[in-house]
Amino acid sequence: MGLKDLYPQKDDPEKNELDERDLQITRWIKEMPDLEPPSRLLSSVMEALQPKGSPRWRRAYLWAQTPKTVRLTPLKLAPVAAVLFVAILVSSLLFLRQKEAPYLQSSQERLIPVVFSLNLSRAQSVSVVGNFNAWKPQGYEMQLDRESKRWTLTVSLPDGRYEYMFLVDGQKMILDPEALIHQADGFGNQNSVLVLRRKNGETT
Amino acid sequence: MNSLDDQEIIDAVLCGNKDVYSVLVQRYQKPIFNLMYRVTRSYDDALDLAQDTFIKAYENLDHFKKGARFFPWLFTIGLNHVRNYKRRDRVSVRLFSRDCDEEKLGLGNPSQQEEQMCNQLDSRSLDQALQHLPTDYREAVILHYREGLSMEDIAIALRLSTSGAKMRVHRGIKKLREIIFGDQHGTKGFVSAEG
Repeated sequence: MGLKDLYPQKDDPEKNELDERDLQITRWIKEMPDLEPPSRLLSSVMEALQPKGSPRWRRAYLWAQTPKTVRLTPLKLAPVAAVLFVAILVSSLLFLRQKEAPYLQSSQERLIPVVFSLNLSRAQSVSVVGNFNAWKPQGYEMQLDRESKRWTLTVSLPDGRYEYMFLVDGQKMILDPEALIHQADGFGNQNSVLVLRRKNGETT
Repeated sequence: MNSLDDQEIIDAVLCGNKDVYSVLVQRYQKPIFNLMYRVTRSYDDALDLAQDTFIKAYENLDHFKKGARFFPWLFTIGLNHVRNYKRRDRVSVRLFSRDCDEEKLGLGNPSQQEEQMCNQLDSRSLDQALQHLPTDYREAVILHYREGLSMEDIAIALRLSTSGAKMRVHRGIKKLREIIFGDQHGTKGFVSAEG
């Protein structure tokens, strides 16, 4: 393999600018004989070289930069595909589970049933919203008890301190008149406060 | 192993495989040795300088830019090395080969010069004419028309812009023409205008 094979010359754009005499010179240059280098050149160079101590990072870098060919057969691929399938399935299930109970993340925690109750029979609908449901009423609609004429909803919550309010007719937010504690929400309004703490099996 | 491209060989050398460097030496020893010979006109000096060039290239292989062309890079090392050698040791360039000095050719006398050379312009007289060119012009012309390098690769080898490389090649040919055939102002060259 010669230099001309390794470095193919493009069409010479200047060829058109050269007259016959110039072209004759270029032909002479092309045909000019080369001296053969002495055979000892190669051996003397190779003897003089010191082995290169290639650091690991360089070897790793070169390895990472070099394209690799990976050969796969369906049989080799099957275990990888199975592992991937299981991993995707498990993560999907976990994701769905989290989505279903976003506010009650620890199923291991013991939940305390809490009955929210509001005496407001003239209302068309009442929901309870609080920091335990991200202040979203969906799924937390209260039911009107015909006999007592009270709106009620039972929610199971773990120990903790919760702020909440009632959303009446989907528009008006009111405090729980029966709550023992109210607290400013930082925006000029107040929230009702519920503190749940299990002590010796009793809820306080 | 000879089918490996330059970059693959360099990667292997950098990973500690010293022996594979011999492929690069074999591949490029001829143009590098001839470069040294053109400048020094000494077989022994050319051998030493070519050897040094390959050793220097090996030692600096860590700095070779991945994906670049190896030969222009190697040529730059060789050209710098031989220039330093000339400067350091004040080696006077012997313009003519040992068996063909200026007196024998009669180049000191224009009439003799024409008489003796007009009948034959062979590779030897071209070689002599090339010696009258400044190194950069000569090497640009040889790299392009003999070694077949593109202008981009010549630019890298001679550390010029691509347009600078084109200019060197073009002017190199024009200067050779002046030396060989005489210029447009009537100066006599190695051969008569009819040659």
